[in-house]
Amino acid sequence: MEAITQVLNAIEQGDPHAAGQLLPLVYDELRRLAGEKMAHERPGQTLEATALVHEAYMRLVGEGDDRHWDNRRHFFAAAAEAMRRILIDSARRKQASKHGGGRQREELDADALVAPEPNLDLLALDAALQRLAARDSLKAKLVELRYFGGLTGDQAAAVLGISASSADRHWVYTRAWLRRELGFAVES
Amino acid sequence: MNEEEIFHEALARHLPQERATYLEQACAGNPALRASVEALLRANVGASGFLGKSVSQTCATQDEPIIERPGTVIGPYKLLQQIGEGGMGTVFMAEQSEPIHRKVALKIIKPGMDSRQVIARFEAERQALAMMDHVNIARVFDAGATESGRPYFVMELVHGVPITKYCDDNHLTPRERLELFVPVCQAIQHAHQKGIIHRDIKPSNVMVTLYDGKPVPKVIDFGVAKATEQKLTERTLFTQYGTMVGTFEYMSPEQAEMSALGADTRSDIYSLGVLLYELLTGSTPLSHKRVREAAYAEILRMIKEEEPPKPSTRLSDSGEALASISANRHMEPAKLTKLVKGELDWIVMKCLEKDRNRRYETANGFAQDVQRYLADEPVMACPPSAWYRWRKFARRHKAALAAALSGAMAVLLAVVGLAVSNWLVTRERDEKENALGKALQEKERADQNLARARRAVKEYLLKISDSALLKSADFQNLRKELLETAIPFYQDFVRQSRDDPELESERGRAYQDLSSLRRELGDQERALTELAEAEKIFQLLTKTFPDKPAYLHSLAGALLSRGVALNELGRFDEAEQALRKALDFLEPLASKDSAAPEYRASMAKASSNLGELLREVGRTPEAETMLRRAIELREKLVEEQPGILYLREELAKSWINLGAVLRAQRQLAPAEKAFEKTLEVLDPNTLGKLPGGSPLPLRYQQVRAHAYNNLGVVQRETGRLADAEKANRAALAITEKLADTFPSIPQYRYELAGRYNNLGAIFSELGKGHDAQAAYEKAVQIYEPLAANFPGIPSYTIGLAGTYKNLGQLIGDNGKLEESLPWLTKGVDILERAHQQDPRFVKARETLCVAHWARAMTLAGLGRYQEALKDWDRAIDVDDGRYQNTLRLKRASNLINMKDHARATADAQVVAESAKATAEDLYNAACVYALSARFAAHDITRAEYYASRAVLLVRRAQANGYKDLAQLKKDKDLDALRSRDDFRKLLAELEAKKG
Repeated sequence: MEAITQVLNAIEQGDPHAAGQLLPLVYDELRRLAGEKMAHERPGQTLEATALVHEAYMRLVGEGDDRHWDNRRHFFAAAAEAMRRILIDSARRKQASKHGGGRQREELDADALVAPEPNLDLLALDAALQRLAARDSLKAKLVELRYFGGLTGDQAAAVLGISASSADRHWVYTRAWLRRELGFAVES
Repeated sequence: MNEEEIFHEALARHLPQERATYLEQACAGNPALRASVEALLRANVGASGFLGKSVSQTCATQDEPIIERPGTVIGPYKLLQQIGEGGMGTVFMAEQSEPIHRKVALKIIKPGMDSRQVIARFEAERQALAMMDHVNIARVFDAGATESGRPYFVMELVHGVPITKYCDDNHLTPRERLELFVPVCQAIQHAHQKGIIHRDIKPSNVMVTLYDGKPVPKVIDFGVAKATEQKLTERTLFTQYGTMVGTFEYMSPEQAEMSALGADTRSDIYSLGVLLYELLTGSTPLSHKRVREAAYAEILRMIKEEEPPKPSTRLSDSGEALASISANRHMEPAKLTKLVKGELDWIVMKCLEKDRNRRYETANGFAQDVQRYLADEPVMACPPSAWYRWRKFARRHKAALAAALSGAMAVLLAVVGLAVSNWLVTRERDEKENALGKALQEKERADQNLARARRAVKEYLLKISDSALLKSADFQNLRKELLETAIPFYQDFVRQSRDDPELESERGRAYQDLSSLRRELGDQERALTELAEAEKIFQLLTKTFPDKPAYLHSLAGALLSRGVALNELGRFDEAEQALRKALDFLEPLASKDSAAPEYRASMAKASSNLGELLREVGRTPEAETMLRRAIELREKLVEEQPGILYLREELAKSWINLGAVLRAQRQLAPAEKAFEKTLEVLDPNTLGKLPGGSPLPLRYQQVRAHAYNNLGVVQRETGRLADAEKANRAALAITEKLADTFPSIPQYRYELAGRYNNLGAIFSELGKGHDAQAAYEKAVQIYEPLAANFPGIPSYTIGLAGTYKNLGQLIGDNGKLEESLPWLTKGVDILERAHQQDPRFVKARETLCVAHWARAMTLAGLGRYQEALKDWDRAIDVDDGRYQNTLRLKRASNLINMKDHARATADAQVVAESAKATAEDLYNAACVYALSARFAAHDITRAEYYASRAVLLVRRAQANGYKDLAQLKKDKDLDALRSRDDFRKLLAELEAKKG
């Protein structure tokens, strides 16, 4: 917890290496937080990923913190990416355990997390996002922030340093693009 | 404007007509662009709820849908609970109140469809649907629209699980699966007879439910696909791509084609075939993974064009997964593959024919064939002949094939003709015993024909072997079959021994060809027997005609082939013997510059192969001599014929091998030169300028990639990391392309994995831990299936083990010692086995040594000295001397931590006495003694002895060039010496010298 505040301070002071340290810290914190929360829940209960990101922010940086968006954005960018990794890893593990002869596996903390939309094939989305990132990393980042980080369009726009209206425009196109990639191109 | 801008513009136009006009104009002359924008627009329908968040109000174009939930009443139905969720919609259990009271399943289609059209289409089929009455079909009762305008279907409620899940959960055997599958076909047949096509057969639409404890399959969703699908006759704005109903994995080629032909009953048979495929093998022909990873145009192409592997091939290719697949089927892996091979393969593949005319005509026909199989009767399906598949292949790749195989087919036909005439002539002779002269004449003609036939077949085979098209994954099996067709021909040929020496020599060469065929098909043992036969023939010929160099050359050639084959099998001694013998024969033929180029080329080949073998077993100085000899011969040959690519390739390979030998002798600068030389010989720029020069074929690029890779390794070892990364990336780019273009050639994947591993090593030294880990993981991902599928090739396994070790080390370097242990242990275990198999295999031994080293460091870091000690012992044991001193000092420090001073100082003593000890080594040995003195303080004589040895060694280190006075002053390891006069004196002396 301390460490994250320190890194954020370092970023504010312009330390070029600090941003790189943020991701692993946030990743570990999110996993730990998920595990901790699950310990108090009934078995089989699930946590919503984006809610967890916000909660992590409250706990790690604090509501009273008067940081500007400019600085908070580092946290959310890292958290969105971390959450994406956690969810994808968990989806991969689930899939791997399916192929491993159907043994019942112990529930791991991250497996208790659910993606914002339950019926989406996360691995397919991840693969499509990777393809998107190769052509247009800004749009991929936008999806990451909104979908995995739980940010609103305006917040995501602020993180990316673009106007809210162009973020919305990108969002419309990107959603259609992803849906086409995912085979949603059905007749109207 | 690009796709994105057009998309936005089109979106701003709400009226269909307006939008169509706009698209017409914006995409004029570019139908592909238009199609892709239209697909985007289609995908945009219903996107507002996609990815959870709604668009902010400024550009919201659609309202959020009202969500139906338990308690909601839709017409006469009250939703009770959600029981399923699919790609198309949500399924609820619902209660119907009138006209009858019953529980039903209600499927609400996701937003994005015009419910009026859906319902209208359903109505059109309703009568037919109502006529279906089959125990294995779940009835569809009704369709309608919810208040929010979403279409829904009302169906018979089936409490069940998808058929694949049921079979796996209950570990049904293949036979039980087939028995369960037959009624599914019968249900589909029933529907077909009523004029209903399902169009979306997949496991989630074939549920298994228990009646009186017996599993009964039920096909659900009849009519849904059709109703939710746009009719092809209704040519509206968005029909360019047609419609996409169905799940890609189960979709027939004609559905993917979306031509005017549309789906018919045989499309259902295709999907049934996919379902059976999955029931037998655990995966669909087009795997879920590939569908997920590919872009959608690519998926359609795969469905339409890719030849699926036979179920048995899929099983035997499934690597580690095979164990669980078989366990789920209550079978041993080998038995399962064997069971599926043959008739079940044929049955399934008949359904999966791209041309629907070749599939079963009816679902019943399919069911009957499965039943025939179950009853042990011969099935109707039969394996497609190589000839048929050849024709199919040829049709699809007309242009490319014409270039690749021009004339080969004609040649083959000629062969058949010749062989027949030969047979006729021979028979005539045998039967009639005609006049001697005439018979001889005919015999000669026949024999000539045979020789020509053999050459023709060989040419044909050469083209098959070389055709890049045939090497691609799709045609791996076809290629194998084509190669196999040549075997009987050669077998017939070699069976007839002849008294004419020329023909006898032809027979010898036929044996050699046969053996290289066998080798390519993976039958090494038989390849060796056939080579021995060839050798026998040539031996006899050389004995009878000692003055004919051609026979001697052939004999050497056979020996050379045997040497190469034996080397590949790791039988080094025999291989060396064969190669040396070949060289002995070639020496008198090729020693002069004026000797025929082919003799010199063979000589170079034998020298180079022997050099390579000697390098592999660690006899580097001898290897260097051999390789230099090969280079000399080959440089001359290239000089004489600069435009001949394969001569250059061989020269380039010799340079690479020499570079590797030089590196092994730690002559890094000359090694680097050798690798640069390789790149020079195969420089595409130079080659382009040569008379008759052509662009370098991809295959030759392999050598360049290899050279770049080695260059990177040497540069890394000399600390030039930026150069190393550059070289490695050049290698990676080429290898990636090769592995991509020739997915059926494991060697390229093996090399690709190696490139990633090396990239990881460079990143790791650059301090880029994340990148390094990603690169290593990528390498592991490629290595693992290789090692599993080719257990007979030691380098694959060793490569994997090496990367495990590197990954472990990297994780350990990040301070996660516990986590790094399993990786290191995995590596060590594999390497121990490889080392045991052949202790002379240098790469296995070297990697084993450093793997033990790495694990010892990790264990010591965790304070587990006892275990670490075992690793040090073993590392010292398998090291060839290069790291002896370093390893002993490390072990000594481990022993000190275990308070075993006697053994620690013994190691230090060995180092102190070693001729190779560096100043650093001596200083470290001094530290070992000093530490021992401190901990042995209770035993005064011993402590005194250790301390005085320590001071002596510091002195020697100093004399040998150890200069770090500051270290000497503050090193805690030496604290036991600080109160001693001799040590103070030494320090004072050094201080004085420095001042």
